[in-house]
Amino acid sequence: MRPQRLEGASLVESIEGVAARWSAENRVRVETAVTGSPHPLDESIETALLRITQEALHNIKKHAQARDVNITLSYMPDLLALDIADNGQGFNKSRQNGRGFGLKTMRERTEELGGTLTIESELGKGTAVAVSLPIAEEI
Amino acid sequence: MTIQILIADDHPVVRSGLMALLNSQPDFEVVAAAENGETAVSLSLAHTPDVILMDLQMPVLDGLAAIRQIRARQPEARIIVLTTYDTDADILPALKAGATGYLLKDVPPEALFDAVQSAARGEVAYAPQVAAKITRRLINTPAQTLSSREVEVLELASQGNSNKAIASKLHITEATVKSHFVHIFTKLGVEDRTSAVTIALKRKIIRLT
Repeated sequence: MRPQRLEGASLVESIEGVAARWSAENRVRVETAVTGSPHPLDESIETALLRITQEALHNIKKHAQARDVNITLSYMPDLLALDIADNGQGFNKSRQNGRGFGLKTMRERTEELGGTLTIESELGKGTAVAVSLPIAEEI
Repeated sequence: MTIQILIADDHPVVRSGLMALLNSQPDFEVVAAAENGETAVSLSLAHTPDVILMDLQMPVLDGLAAIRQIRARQPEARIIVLTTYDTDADILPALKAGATGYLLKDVPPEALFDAVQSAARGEVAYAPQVAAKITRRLINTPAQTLSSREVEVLELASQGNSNKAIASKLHITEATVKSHFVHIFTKLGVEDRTSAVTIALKRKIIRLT
């Protein structure tokens, strides 16, 4: 999966683009929200976040049977969080039903950047994945 | 008067290079050199140098921790950070720890000499790009006002929602809700959600609905 990044596009625009294409292909509603004050980050961070978004959407398509997906980018003073939540079938965290692989790549990408990946899910209640990465305090 | 200098850097080549360079100046004398932060602390106590040149990334004890320990015991110590890193995340903690100067390793020798002399006189010495960052920091004091998402999180909390309920209402993870709370607590100067809600109500940041 190559990141489908438009030259000169911001991270928010790139994620919105990926989300819109995925939404049209899979007929699943996707809403993207941004909180805090967005600002450009290191290219390596932005590329990783875009890839993680694609991987998360790919997982949702393969496993979740979701009708709605919410992507939220939260710019905090020293932290960036990317949350991808679906309202699909969810899973029991002790039995991951072969979902391990996609999550493993996402976790590796996140940890390479010193961040953490959190997965929250309950059977029947959807799945939410969060990537949180330290970013330099804005001055 | 000779200015006595302590060098702390984990790279032997950097240490000997600095030593040769500084000792080439008639009024400088390198009295000790440390290969890590821990040695720097003990050598500083032993020699009470006029100026300390401190690298940040070092084994055993890093430069930042060493600056704190030295300043705790020798509040008069003049410490110039000499590093390759100039991100805000490096500069600000070093200055808060008590560094009186911040130079980058690409500094021209003349500028290094000037900085050592300034430090010995009790003045600050910053690399130009570092000074620019500090100035910007002073002009744009970080916003202590809550972002609209933080207000939203706090409002939901004030209505009795658990983190899990807030997460589900905002379509985000509990992990991210918790991160928002960490920032809310810092901005409001409190340690728990009850105090955060109380202060936010008092300051009319949120209203009871």
